[in-house]
Amino acid sequence: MTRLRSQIEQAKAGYLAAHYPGDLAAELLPATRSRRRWVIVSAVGALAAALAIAFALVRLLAPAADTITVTQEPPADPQVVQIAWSAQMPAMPAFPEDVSLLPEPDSFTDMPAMPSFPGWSDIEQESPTTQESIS
Amino acid sequence: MEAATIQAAQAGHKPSQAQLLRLLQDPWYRVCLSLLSNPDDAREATQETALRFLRDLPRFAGHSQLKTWSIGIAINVCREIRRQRHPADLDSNPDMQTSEPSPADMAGLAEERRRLHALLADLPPRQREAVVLRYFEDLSVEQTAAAMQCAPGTIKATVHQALRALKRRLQRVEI
Repeated sequence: MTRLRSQIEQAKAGYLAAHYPGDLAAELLPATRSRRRWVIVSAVGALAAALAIAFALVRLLAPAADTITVTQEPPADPQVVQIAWSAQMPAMPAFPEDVSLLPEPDSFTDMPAMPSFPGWSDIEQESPTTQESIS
Repeated sequence: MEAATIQAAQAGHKPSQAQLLRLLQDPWYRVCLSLLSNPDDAREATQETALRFLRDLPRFAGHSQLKTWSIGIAINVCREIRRQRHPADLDSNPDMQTSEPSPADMAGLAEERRRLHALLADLPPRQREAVVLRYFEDLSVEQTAAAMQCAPGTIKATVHQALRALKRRLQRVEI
């Protein structure tokens, strides 16, 4: 067993002589850090590009908006203002002045009489009963 | 290894993680080299071990030493690489002999590594793992069992079989 122990000890010396050829921390950890840095840089770049596009659109659309406000403002001349508003607002329909809403007094006499309900005496005199007509 | 460093690394503190990697990279590489017998494979296995170590570090509960736990990761990585490179070289067949290194591999090995390989070459993978952890990494039976994910009694038996095989081989060489 002594010979075997000495063999194991020699092999152990060879075992401990081996070292990893590099730096694992430098190989693995910076990759994660640089990836995160790229994500941050990309996000900031995208945000900056969006802001630039938004700013350019505002600059492009701003003159058209000014023109609209200028045309909607009433001009200094009152006459022009009146014409402009009359052109924009539709005229109210005119009500005829010679039409009266109240009926004329003579029209009440021309009203037809109300239909009267026949009385019992009128029925007895004018229309015989069924028994009498049969007999 | 300080507990504060481990806790900080578990919380994602990069300098603490770098400190642990620098402490453990040589034990990982030595275990991988002795189990795979190829410097390129050992380097690849060490990097994979480091990636899995960083991934699983938040789940490390502290039931064993961090080094023992991380060597268990390295052993699993080496087993996977062995299965990929040599599908017939399965752990379920303890009598399976590992292949000899090619002349190119031998040329790249230093004298100490050659001695190491000469000692371990004839051992089946499980016995080789047990010998490396018990006698080279100086782990206890319990620590070796934790790293190899088996019972301490299994480790005792495996180490006993390995020593007996080495003794037989030594007697053959002397004769």
